[in-house]
Amino acid sequence: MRAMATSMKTTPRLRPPVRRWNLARLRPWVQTGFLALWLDPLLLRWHSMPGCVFHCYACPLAAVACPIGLLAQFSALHIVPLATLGVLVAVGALVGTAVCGWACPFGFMQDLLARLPTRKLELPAWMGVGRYVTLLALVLTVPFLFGAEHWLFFCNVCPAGALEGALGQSIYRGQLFLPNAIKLSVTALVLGLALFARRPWCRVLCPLGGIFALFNRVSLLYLRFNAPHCTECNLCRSRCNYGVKVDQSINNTSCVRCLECTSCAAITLTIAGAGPKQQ
Amino acid sequence: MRLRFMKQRKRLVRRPQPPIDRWVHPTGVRRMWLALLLTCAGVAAVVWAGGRVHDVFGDGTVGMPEWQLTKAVTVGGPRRPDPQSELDLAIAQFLGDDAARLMSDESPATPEPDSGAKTQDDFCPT
Repeated sequence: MRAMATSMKTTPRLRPPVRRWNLARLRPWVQTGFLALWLDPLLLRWHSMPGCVFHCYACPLAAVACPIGLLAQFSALHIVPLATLGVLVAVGALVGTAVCGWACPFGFMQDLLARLPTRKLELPAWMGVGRYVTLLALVLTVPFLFGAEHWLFFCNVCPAGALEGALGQSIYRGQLFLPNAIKLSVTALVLGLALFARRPWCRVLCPLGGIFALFNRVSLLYLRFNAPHCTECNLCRSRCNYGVKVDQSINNTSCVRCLECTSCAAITLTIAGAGPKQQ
Repeated sequence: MRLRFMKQRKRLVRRPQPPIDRWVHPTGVRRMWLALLLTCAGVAAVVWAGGRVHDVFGDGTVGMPEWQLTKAVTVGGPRRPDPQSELDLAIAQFLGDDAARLMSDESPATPEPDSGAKTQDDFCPT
């Protein structure tokens, strides 16, 4: 009886849950390509153009300006950075946090550190609120009220500035420029945590990731969960390194769109309006 | 028997579906238009910023285009304020042109101190 009932279970037709090949395999190569792009191969230094990744403009090899640094500096000048906001909104509305997962050099560095064979801790989802606390407090409020000289001004505690700015300047000029103690402490903490958790900076403190995460729910490029094709094998949740409940809220703010979950055939990367109608 | 079989079949086929909040997660055409609207708004903001000029408070920077200001803050900020020149300018504007001239280097020469020698007029008063 049971066998008969199982054989009649034909609708909906189940696909094989695992894809043999997915886009996530290309991610390290794409990240390397973007890193080469941000490192200003033509030495043009377009610092009047706001970028869309976390890459300090103090680096001698920075192609474009860091948007978070610009937000903080303009906040200190009491001016609305319209160009920076426009770039962030346009890029966020197109691809959301795919910028973090595929283009950000600081995220790439954390991904490389995470490849070291250490035991990885799971960060709770509520820690993602720290990104917005950082954005509101260190990027907007402190510069607005106390100016760029305050010790809590974001660029004074930024680990990307310590690594790319101070270290880069030291290499470029042949002199040793050490950032202040707070910046060094934050950098050491982030690099140390990156060995034991995946992308701790991006998930807990990065204000740029927080901004792009807000666009995940409305971005043109998004992940789609096809519920009729789900076999409840939990493959998607096990593949996700960032604790996203893929079958319930696939485009939430914790996702960096690494596309590891697309190993499951029930999940597809989709352009809004271009795919078939969702069931 | 048939009724029991149908119930069992329905129980096997139906699986719990994850909740989909269609307002929070717009999909398809609505999502496309929303994303394109936001993208156009962002591009319009960048274009509008190309024509904006800014006066930096307390810095003496006037009429600097946003693109130049963006580049300026990446190298340590727009022109650093000179406190003494700012103070002189503010006092001159407050007191007027004569006071500003007096504060400049063209101040009149100070009279020489009296040496104490008597002249002829001192002895022959009229």
